[in-house]
Amino acid sequence: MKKNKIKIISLVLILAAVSACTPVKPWERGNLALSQMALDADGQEAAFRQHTFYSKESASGGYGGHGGGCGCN
Amino acid sequence: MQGKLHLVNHAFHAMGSPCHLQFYAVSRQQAQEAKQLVKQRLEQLEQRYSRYRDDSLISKINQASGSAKATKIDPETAALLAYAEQCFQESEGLFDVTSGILRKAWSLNKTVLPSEQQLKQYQKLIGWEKVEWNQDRVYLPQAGMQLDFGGIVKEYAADSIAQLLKNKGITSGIVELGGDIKVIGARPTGQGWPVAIRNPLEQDKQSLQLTMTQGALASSGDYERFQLIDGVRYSHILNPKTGMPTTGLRAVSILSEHCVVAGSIATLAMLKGTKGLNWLQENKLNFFCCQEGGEIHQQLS
Amino acid sequence: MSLINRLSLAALALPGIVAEDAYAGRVDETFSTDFQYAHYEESNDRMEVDVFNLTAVAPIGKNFTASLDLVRDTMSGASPVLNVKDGQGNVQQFLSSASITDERDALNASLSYAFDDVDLSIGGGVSDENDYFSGHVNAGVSWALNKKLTTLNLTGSVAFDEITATGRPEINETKTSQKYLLGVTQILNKDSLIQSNMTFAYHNGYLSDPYKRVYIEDTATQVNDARPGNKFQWAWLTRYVHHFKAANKAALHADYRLYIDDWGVDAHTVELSWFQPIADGWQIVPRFRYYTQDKADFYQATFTSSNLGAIHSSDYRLAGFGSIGAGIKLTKSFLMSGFVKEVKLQTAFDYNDRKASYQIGGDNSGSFDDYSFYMVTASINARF
Repeated sequence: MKKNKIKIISLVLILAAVSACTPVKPWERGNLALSQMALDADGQEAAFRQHTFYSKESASGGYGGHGGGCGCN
Repeated sequence: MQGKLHLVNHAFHAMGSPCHLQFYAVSRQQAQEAKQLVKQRLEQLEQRYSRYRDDSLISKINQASGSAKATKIDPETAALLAYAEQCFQESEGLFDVTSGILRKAWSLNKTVLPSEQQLKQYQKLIGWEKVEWNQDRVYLPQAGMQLDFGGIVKEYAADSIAQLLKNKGITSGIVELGGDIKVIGARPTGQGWPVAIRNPLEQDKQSLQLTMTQGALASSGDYERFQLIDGVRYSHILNPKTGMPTTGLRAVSILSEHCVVAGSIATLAMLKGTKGLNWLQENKLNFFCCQEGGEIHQQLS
Repeated sequence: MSLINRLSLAALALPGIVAEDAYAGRVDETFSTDFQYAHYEESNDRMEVDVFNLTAVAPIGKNFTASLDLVRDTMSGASPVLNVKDGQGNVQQFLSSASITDERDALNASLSYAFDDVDLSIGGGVSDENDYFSGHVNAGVSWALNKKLTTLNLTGSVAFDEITATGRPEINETKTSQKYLLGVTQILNKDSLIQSNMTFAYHNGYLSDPYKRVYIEDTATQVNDARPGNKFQWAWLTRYVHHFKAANKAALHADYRLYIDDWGVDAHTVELSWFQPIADGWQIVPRFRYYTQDKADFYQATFTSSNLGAIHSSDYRLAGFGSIGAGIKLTKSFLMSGFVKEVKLQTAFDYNDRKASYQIGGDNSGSFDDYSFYMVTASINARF
C-alpha cells in the first residue's frame, strides 16, 4: 500500500542524508552563517507564497508553518 | 560563597610588557593559586610562541623553513593557524602572519628608509598562501620564511587567562597584558572596572574613560613603538603588500567580546590605513581611533 | 553575519576561549518587527487579494522568545464555479459574479523556550472570515546534535474549522485536521547544507467546496461539489543550499517536493533561487518554480449521470495541470548602530502560468481552466 512504501523510503533517505558529510570546524562556519544561506530568511514572504500556492494547487506541506486552515480558494 | 571577598592587585611583567591583574578572591589560598596558574600559562605561551626564544615552537618552525621537513604541532597551534587564516581571508591578505620578517628592513635602529630592492627581497618570503599546514603539522616552503604570532598571542593570552581564572571560580576580575584587556567579570557590586584609553597625542593624558563589566578591549597604534626618519613618524605595523608602514590611523582601540578578536580587528584597521576609519564605521564596530592628523573618532554603543 | 561574528566563530576554536554564554539557550537577543504588503492578481478579471501582515518577535528573559503575527486579507473578484459543455462539445469554465469583497483576519502567537541544544515551542491561532473560521494549536521541538551540525525537528498541530456558505444556509459544517512534521537539517560541509522534511496530514469532516458545483451533461443539470469525508496527505520536501564564494558569496537554493495524497493526486514541485549579493547591503534573487500535479480520482471536467457517483468534483485545483513561475526579489539591508540595529527593505515580483498542458504525463484535458497570476510583495523589517 502506498502508505507503507512511503514510510520505508522516508527512513532510508533521512539516514542516507545524515551520513554523507564532512566535519566542519567551528572556524569554518562563517559562510554558512551568511544571510543568503538561511533557509528561513524571510518568514512573511515564505508564508505568503506557501499560502498562495496551497490555495491554488493540491499539494501542501514540507515547510512547517503553523498549521491553521482557511477558506481560501 | 563563603569567606569575605578581597581585592587582589597583581602587577608583573610578561610577553615583553607590563601586565596587571585585578580580581576578587575568597581566600589567600585561592589568590595564590590563581597567580600561580596565570604565571604558568603565560610561561607556556611564551615558551611556545615567542620569537625571542630560539627553543620555542615558533622558532623551530621558522628554523625548518625550506628544509623539506614539516614541524609537528599541537591542537592549540593548529587553532591559531586557523585563526590566522580567517584573519587573512577577512583582510584580503593584509593581515599576514608571515609578514613579520619585513621588520628586518625597518629595524628600529635604522635612520634611513629601506630601498625598494631591500623590501622586494623580504616580500619574496611573505605569503600566508604559501604556508602548508594542517591539524598536525606546518611547513614553510622557502628558507627564511617566518611565522610571527606576535599580533595574536598577547590578546589570546588575555582571553586564555581570564578563562582559566573563571574556571577556578573567580567571577570578578580584569586582566590587562600590555594594554590588551579582558574582563573576567564585573565587580561584586555589579559595577564595571574603570578603563582608560590613552590619548595618542599627549602621552600622559587620558582620552576616554569607560567602565567595563564584560568583554575585551585591545589597541593597536604607533604611539609607543615608532621610528623617526627625517622627522617623519613611521609606525611599526607594516603592510605586507607594499612593505611600508601603515599611514592614515595613528591608533585604534576596539571593544569586543574576545580580546583576540578585538586585537585582530584593531590591527586590521591600522593596516587599512586611510580606509581604516570608513571600514570601522561600515562594519558597525565599537571603536575609538585617532587619525594621522590628530582627529579623534569613536563609535561606542 | 558580521565581521565580528565570523572572527569570533574562528576564535572559539582556540582552546583558551569559550563563548561567553557557554550554556547558551536562545541565540537571538534582538527584538524584531516585520511588515509586509502583498498583492495577488489573476488573469481574466478573476480573483485579486491584498494582504497586510505584521509580525513582532521579542526575547523574554534568558530563554524565552515570544512572537505575534497578524494578517488581514481582502479578496475580491470572480472564482470558478463549474465547467459546462457548450453546443460544440467544448468545455467552458463558468465564474461566479465578481462583486463581493471578502475579508479574512488571522492572528497567530507562539512561545519558545531554548536551553542547551533544544528548542521547545508552542503556539496557536485563529483565522476568521464571514464563511470560515479556523482555530489551531501547535507544538514543536528542535534538537541540535553532532556539534550543532545536525538538527532534528518534530512538530505537530491540530486545527478545528467551522464552515458556512453565503447563499447556502444549509451548510453548517466542521472539519478537523492534524499535521505532523519530521525533519532533519544537516550541514554537509563549510559551503553547503541540506534539509529534508516529511509531513503527514489527516483531515476529517466537511472537505468539499460549498461554492463549487459539477455539471451533468446528459441531463444538463448541476449538483454540488462532493468530496470524501477524509483525506491523507504526505509530502517530502528536500532543500539544498550551496555557497559560491567566487560569485561574490552568492547562494543557490534548490528545493524539490514530492506530494502524494489518497485522493489520487501526485504532485512534484521544483524551486530554484539564486541569492546574489551586489554592492553594499543589496541582494538580488531571481527564482524559478515548476509544479505539476495529477488529477484527483473523482475529478472530471464534466460528468454524465452514469459516471457521477457519490463523490465528484470539477474544481480546477483538483485537475491535472502544471504551473511554471519565475520571479525576482530585491533586498536592501541597512546596518546601524544605536537603538535600531538593522532595517531591511524588500520587494519581489513573481509571475505564474498555470496550464493543463504543462503537466508532465497528463492527458491534457484542455485549456478551459488555464489562467495566470502575478504576486507583488513589499516589506520592511527592523531589528532592535
